[in-house]
Amino acid sequence: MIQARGLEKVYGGRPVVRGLTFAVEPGEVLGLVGPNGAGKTTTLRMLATTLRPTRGTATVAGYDVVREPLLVRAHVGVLPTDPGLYGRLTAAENLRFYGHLCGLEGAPLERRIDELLEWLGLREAKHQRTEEFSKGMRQKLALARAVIHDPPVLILDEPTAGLDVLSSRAVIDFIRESRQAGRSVLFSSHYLLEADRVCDRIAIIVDGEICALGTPAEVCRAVGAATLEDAFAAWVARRAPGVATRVV
Amino acid sequence: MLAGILTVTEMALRIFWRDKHALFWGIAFPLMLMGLIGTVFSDMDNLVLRTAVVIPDGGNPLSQGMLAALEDVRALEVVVEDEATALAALRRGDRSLVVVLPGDEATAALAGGGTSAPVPVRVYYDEARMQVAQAGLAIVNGIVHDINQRVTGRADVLAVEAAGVAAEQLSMFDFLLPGILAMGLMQSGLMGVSAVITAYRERLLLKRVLATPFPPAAFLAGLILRFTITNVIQGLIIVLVGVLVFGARVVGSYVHLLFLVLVGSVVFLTIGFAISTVSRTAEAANTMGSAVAFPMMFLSGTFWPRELIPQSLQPLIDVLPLTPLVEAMRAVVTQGESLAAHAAGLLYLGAWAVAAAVVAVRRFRWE
Repeated sequence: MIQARGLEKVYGGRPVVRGLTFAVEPGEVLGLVGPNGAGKTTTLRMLATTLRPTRGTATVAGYDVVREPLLVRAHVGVLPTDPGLYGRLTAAENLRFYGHLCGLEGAPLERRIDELLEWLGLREAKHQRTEEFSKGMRQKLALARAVIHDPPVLILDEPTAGLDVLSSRAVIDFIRESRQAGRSVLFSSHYLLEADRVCDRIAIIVDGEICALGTPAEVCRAVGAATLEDAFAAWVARRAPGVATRVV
Repeated sequence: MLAGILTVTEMALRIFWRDKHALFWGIAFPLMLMGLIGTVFSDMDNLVLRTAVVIPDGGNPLSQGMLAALEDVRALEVVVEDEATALAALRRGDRSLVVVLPGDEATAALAGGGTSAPVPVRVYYDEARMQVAQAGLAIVNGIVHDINQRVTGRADVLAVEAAGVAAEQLSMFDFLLPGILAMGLMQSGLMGVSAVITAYRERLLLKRVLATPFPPAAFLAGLILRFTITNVIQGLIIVLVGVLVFGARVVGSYVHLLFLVLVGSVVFLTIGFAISTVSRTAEAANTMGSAVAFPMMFLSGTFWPRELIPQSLQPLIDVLPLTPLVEAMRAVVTQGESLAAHAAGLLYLGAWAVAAAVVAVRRFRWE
């Protein structure tokens, strides 16, 4: 569902992402973990077609991210770091607006809105303006917006950043249910425990390069670490000792 | 595509309707200004201006014609006297206005076919009585305009317009209505559009659009349609309140006025988009928009005739885009002039729109 081959991004002569190659299969959750500035968000944005790769290719749901961006967008749900909701619109109006932008309308869209609000526990807040929402409620609504058009692929950037325990749990459950529904999920995270719990595979990315890719157990075993956190520190230290000191 | 554009417009209108600040600045503020200024200066209605007319060089056909035109105006009580006596009376407050008619140099200019430099008609007024000066200057301007057009040989058209000037007494609300209309359009573009677009960018709402299969240009088209609709509604409310509540008169064509509202809307929307490309935050956009809008509001003849502003500022006033819009709207509202008479000003507005569009398109950023 997601295929990246030699994906690169250069900003002002400085490479930010260097030759990433990986795939995410249907019903699989791949976590991109790495220190700040490692290139996680840049990678996600190239796959979501909001940033053009400098080199390399990628397909999402079978469509090329450079040549067929509109088709990619029609088949991918994106959750950015900032929910980006219209504060003066209600939850239902926000979802309805994005549903329209994705080509949905009428009774099927209204049913989808009710279904998603129910699923994420926002039914009571359907007619409440989002400027009155808590951060957790906003994030849940942003997730609902990302899947309003029922896309087969999800790209989530730091989906639990800054959320309380219950909201984080709701997001993790959402990712698990998306996997059960057969979606391919690619997400970035700083929280290794969370990545360990939800990811089928993990890619550790340092300085724009993937230095480890495998199941959490494989990533730990390769460096003789007992926990994913230890493994992460060991991998980062191998590739960028300065960064490892800061992280650990 | 059209359905998509309408979806964006509907969303943006809903947000506008729920934004109390936007409603206040877009609709209530212009009406408040018109009500306050119009009421404060309403004592000029039914006012008789004691006007001294100075005729140098013993008079000539042109000055006699102008004197006759001035005497025809109901609002003027005309006396002919020499300049020194008239100015002394003005300083004492015994005269409202002193009009010094052109002498023999005007006859020479006429003989030259109007190719030489314009001959001045000097008007002295009391700077402390601005509302009186506004009324007087508007009347004298109308007569000079009429005579200028006679010189160009279009006497048949001019006779009708001259009668209008002579018969209609300008009220403060007649004068203010077009100025407030133009000001509302300017505010909507320079402060409204730039702040909304910058806020959408700052809150990553524009970037969100890029993550959907919706064509980005259609999103912008939807926003432009939203602002155009609110500008027309705002203009409609200002005209309705101006006419029905404050008793302002629209002498000219409402269709022409609507056309000017649409032209002004396009011009200032485009300038607002251009401003949004250089400001990083909504606050910066608001500050930048205000920095451009407020001087224009006071210089371009919105609240008082530009003739009251010092000569040194006139070249600056000439280049401001609000000036030709106010002039064209005022000519339609108070004198019933045709749009053709303001073709040059409208073309100048078009040039502003094109220049701003070039900046907006080249520099527009979605994030």
